[in-house]
Amino acid sequence: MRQDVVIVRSLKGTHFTGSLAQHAMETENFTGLGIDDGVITSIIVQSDQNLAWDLYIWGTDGFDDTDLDADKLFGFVTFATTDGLRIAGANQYYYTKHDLYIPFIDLDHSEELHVGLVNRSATAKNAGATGEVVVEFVIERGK
Amino acid sequence: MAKVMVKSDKDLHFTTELITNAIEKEAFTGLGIDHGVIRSIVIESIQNLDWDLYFWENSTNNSTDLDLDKAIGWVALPNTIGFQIGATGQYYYVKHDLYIPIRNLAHNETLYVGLVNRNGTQKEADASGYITVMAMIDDGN
Repeated sequence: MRQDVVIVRSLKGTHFTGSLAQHAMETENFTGLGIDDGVITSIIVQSDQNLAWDLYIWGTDGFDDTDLDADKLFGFVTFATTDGLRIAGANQYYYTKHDLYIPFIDLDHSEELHVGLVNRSATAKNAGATGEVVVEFVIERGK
Repeated sequence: MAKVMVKSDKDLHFTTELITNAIEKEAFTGLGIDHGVIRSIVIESIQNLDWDLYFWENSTNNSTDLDLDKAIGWVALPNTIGFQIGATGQYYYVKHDLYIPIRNLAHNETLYVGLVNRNGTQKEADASGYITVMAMIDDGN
């Protein structure tokens, strides 16, 4: 059966533009999904820096909350620096995860994907042009 | 397929202390379904311990009578997959890409779950041992 696919992609100049110390997180709400639930099946990250990334997926724009009842995490995916590959030894690093099955629901009913990017490397993520990161999610809504 | 999200309450479920290998059992009501497939699990915990989650088909849960024990699966979430954000707050554990078919033999739209502490350190009771469990279930429709 063919599934309806929604692709959500961040913008390098708009999202995840801050500096990130080790273990720090920057959150973003990706709008315009057109759906409030689906299954994330692939994630692609492009990054100027080769760092270890976590991507967290929440059900609300409250993101992480020290109250365990209020925190609606649906999952996270880790990318090691060894997952980051360049082409011809130059330019950005590509990280991919396929064959995922991460169901999520936008509990805000805002047709948004609520995402947090965490830097797990000891090296800080740079702000601005030297630390650009783009994240793409492939979401199937018929699953 | 429709998705059913069930999440425990930190003050109502799994609130007791658990020594190594001990279990606390809960019945999550109001599922709206009696069968489905668990596709992902998220644990949030104040303590970073080694957890097992067991699933049963009825409220008998674990029984020494092998005919009566209707275990339908379990998942291990070791402390090595427990991550904090900003090196503070609760630990997050996730398991994706699961395919654990479940059915409720009591037909009461309830999920029967057992939490086992596999760590040498005991799980604390109440606030210092708060833990929540979330499961995403495909209902097959």
